[in-house]
Amino acid sequence: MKRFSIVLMMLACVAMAAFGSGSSESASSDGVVEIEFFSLKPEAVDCYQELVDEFNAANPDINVTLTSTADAQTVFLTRVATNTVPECCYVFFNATYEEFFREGLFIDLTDDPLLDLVQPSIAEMAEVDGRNYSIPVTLSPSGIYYNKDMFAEHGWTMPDTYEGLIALCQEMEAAGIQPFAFSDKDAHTIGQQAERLINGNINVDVISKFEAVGAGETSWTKEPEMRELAEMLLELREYGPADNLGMSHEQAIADFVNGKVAMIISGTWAATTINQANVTFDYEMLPFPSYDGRPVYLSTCPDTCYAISASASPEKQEASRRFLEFLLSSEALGKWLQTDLSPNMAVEADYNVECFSVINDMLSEGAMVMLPSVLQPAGFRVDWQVAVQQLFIDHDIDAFLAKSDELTVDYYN
Amino acid sequence: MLGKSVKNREKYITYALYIIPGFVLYLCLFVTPLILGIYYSTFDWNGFSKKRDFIGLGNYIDALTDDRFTSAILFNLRYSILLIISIIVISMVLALLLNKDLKARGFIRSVYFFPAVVSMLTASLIFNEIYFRAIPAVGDLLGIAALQKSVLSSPSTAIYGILFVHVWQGVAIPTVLFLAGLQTIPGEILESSLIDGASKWQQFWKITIPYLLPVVSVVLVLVLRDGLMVFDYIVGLTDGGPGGATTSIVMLVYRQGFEEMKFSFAIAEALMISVVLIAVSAFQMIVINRKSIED
Amino acid sequence: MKQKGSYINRARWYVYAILAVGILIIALPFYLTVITPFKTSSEILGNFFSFPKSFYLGNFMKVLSKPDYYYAIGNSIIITGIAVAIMSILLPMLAYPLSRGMREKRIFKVIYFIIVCGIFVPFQVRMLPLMKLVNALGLMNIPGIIVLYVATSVCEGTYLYVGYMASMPTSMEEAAYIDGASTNKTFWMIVYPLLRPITATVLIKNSLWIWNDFFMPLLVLNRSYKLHTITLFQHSFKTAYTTDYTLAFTTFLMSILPIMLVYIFAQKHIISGLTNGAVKG
Repeated sequence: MKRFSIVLMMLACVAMAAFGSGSSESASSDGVVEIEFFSLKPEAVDCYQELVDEFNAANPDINVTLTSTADAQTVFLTRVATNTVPECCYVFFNATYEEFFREGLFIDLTDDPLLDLVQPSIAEMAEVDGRNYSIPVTLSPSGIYYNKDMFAEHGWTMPDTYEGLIALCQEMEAAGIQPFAFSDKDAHTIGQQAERLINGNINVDVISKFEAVGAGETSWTKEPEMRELAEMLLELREYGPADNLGMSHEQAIADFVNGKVAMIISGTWAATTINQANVTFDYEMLPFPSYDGRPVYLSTCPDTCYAISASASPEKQEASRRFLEFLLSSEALGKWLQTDLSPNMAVEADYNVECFSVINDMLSEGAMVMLPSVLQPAGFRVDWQVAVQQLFIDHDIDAFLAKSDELTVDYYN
Repeated sequence: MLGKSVKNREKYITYALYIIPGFVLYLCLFVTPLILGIYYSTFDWNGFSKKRDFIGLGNYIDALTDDRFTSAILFNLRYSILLIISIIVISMVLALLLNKDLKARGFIRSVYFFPAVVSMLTASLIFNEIYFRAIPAVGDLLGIAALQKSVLSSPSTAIYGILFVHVWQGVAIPTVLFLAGLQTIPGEILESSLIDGASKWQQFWKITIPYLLPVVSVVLVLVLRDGLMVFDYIVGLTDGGPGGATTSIVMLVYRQGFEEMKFSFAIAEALMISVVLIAVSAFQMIVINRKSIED
Repeated sequence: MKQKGSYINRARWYVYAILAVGILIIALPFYLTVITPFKTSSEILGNFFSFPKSFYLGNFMKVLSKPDYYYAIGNSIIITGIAVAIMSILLPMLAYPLSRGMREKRIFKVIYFIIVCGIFVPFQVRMLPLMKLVNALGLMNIPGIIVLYVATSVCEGTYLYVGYMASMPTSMEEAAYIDGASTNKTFWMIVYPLLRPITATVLIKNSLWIWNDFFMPLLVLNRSYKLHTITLFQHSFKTAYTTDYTLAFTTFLMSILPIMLVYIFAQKHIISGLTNGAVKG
C-alpha cells in the first residue's frame, strides 16, 4: 500500500496547491487596485513591461500586471469565452472584435476624455454603430517597399502609375534584377495584399459591391473589380520569384534585405523586421501606384487599440483609464514609437519615422479607407485568400470569379 | 471455497481502489468537458455570445454538406494511410537494426531519437528553409527540374513535404515501442528455432512478427490518431495551402471555431470525426485481439 | 550484453550502412540547430546554412539575461517531472485491474472502452468547456496544469499498459496468488517490475509531449511570465508576421539537454527491463 498512498498524497498535494493558489490570487492587498493589462502584440513585450514598471512606480495605489503571450488572439478568445476578460486590453479592430464590442464586453468610451487623446479621423474610423468602444492609436497601411540604394544606383524612381510600375519591372529584369519577392506560401499575406489593392487602388467603394454580390443582385463576372484584381495580381507575379508559392514572409524579407530583389509589397509591420535584419539597410515605403488613372487610397484599419472591460469593477475601470492616459502621454508614446513604427494617430505622438513619411502625409490628408475585411462577415477573408492562392496555382480567372461569387454569397447570408 | 470468496473480495476491493483515482480524474477533467462540448454542438453559437439558438442536429447536417469538410476528410484519409505505412515500416526496420549488437549502440539510438525532441517551431523553421533554399539549390546544381521548386509550393506534392517532416519526427516513439516489444520475445524460442534450422527470414515471419503483432496494433491506433488529427505540422509548414490542398480536419475545426466564430459548428465537425475514429479503432482492436487469442 | 545469448545477431556491414543513411537525414537539421544560435540575425538572413563566421555568443547572453528563461526552464522541469512521476504510478495501477479483470467481469471492459475512446477526441472539442471548468476550479496555475496532464494521459496510458499486460505471462502472478500474497503485494512485487519497459516508454512519450506542448500551457498559464514554460518562451519570439530565428534557436538549444537526459536514462530500462525481471522471477 506504500506506493499507493504516496501517489494519493502527491495528487492531494498538487490538487490542494492548485485550489489554494487559485483562491489566494484574487485577494487584493491594502487599498492597491490590481489590474491586468493584456497585450496582443508579443513583439512589444519588452516595451510594455518597461512602461508598466514605470507606471507602477509613479502610481503606488495601482498595480498593473502585464499579460503577453505567443498566439495571443487564441488566448484572448478563451479569456472571453471563460468570462475572464482582462480589465485593460490591447485589442484589434476587425470583424471578430466588432462582435465583442456589440456584445458589450467593453465599456462605451464615446464621450470619454480619453478619446480626445487621439485624432478625430481615426476615432471616427473606429466607430461601431456610431459608438466608440476602443481608443484607436495606430494605423497599418501597406504599400511597396523599395531598396533606396539600388534605385539610386540605377537611376530608378518609383512611378506614379501602374503601367509605369510594370515598365520599371521590365527595366529591372533587363538589368538582371528580380523586381519583386512575393510570400505567397503564407496565405494571409496574399489576403492582405489582395483586399488592399481591390479597395485602395481598384475601387474605393468596393465594399458596396461585395454587399450587392452577397445579396444576389449582381455577380463578380458582371462587376469589373474582381477580374481587374486577378489580372493585376497575376501580372505582378510575372516579375516575382519562380517559386512564389514556396516563399514565406520571412524569406521574402530576407531576399529584399539581401538585395536579391528590388521591392516587396507589405504593410508597415514589416519595417521592424527589416531593421532587425540589417540596421544600415536604406529603404522606403510608398503607396501602390495609381491603377487606370484612379485615385489612390490607403486601405487600412486601426491596428493598436485599447479597451476597458465592462465586467471590471468601477475602481478597476478607473485605474485602467489612468493607465491608458499614461500610455497616450508623450513620453510613453516616445518609447512605444521605438518598438512599433506604424503611423501613430495619438495627439501627443511626435511621429517622425522617415521610411513612412509619404504614407503618413497621405493619412493625415485623409486619403484612407476602411479595410474590407473589417466590414465583411467574420472569416470571409480567411476563406477568400485561399481562392486567391488557387488563382496563382492554376491562373484560371473564371474559376476564381466563380469561387469569389460563391464565397461572397455564402458569407453574406 | 470460503477462502476463495474472501480472496476474490480482497482482489476486487484492491481493483476498485486502483481504478478510482485515475478514472475519477479522467471523468472530471476529460469526460465532463467532452459532454459539455456535445451539448454546445447542438446550438448555433459563436462561443461567447449570450444569445444562442438550439438547432439540434443542424450543425451536423450542415457539416456533411460542406465541401470544405469533405475535402479535408479526403486529405486526412490519404495522409493517414501514407503516414501509417511509412511509420510502421521504418520504425520496425529501425527497431530490428537497433536491437542488434551494434558498436556505440547507445549513441546511435540517441541520434535516432533526436528528431523527436525537436520542438515543432524549430522543426518548421528548419524544414521551411531546407525545402525553399537547400533542395532547390541542389536541383539547380544538378539540373534536376523536379527539385528546383519547393515541394510545398505545388498542391500535388505539398502533402509529401508535410509527411516527410512528420515521419522524420514521428518514427522515434514507435521505434521505442517496437524495441520494447522485441524484448518480450523469449530468447530460448529464438535459439531453439535456430537449432531447428530455421532461416532468418522464417524466424522473422514465424516468431518476431507474431510477437510484435500487439505492438503493431498499438502503433497503428496511435499513428492513425496522429494522422487524422494532424494540425501543427500543417500550420508550421503550409498553413493548409497551397490553394487549400493540405487543409486537415482539425485545422478546419480550429479555423472555423476561432477565426470564423462558428464555434458550435466546429465542435460538431470534430465530434463526427471522433465517432468514426472510435468505430474504426474498435473494429481494428477486436480483429487483432481475436488474432492474438488464437495464437 | 553477452549473456543475452546468440539470438541477438551481430551487426553486419549493411546494418551500419542503412543506419548511416538515416543518420545523414538527421544530420542536416541537427547541424542547423547547433550552428544557428552562434550566428547574428543578419548572418542568418544572409545564408541560413553557412557555418558561423565567428562564434557569436550574444544570443546566449540575451537569453540568459532574461529572467523569463529561468522561470520557463524551471517550470518545464517541475511540470514534466511531477506529472510523469504521478503517471508512472497511477497509470499502471489503473491499467492492471482493467487488464486482469476484463476476463472476469464486464464492468472492467466497459471502463476500459470509455477510457480508450478518449484517445480519439480532438483537444479542440474539449478546449473551451475545459477552460471554463478549469477556471471555475481555480486550476489556472502550475499544479493545475499537472493535474490536467495526468487526466489527459489516462486514455493513451491505459491503452499502452493494457496492451503490454495482455502480452505478459500471468503464470507468476497466479503462483503468487496461490501462495497467498495479496493482490496489492502481487502487483507491486511481481507485476510492476515486469512493466519497466512500457513504463519507460510511457515516460519518454509523455515527457516529450509535455515538454514540447504549446496549447495547454498557453491556455492555462498565460497570466504571468513567471508561469510560462519553455515552449511558451520559445514561441514568444514568433509574431504574426515573423520569427526571431536567433533567439528561437538559442532557446531550443538551451532546453534540449533535460529532455535528452530523460531519454538516455529511460531507454536503458526499455532494453534491460524484461530480461532482468524474468531472471529475478
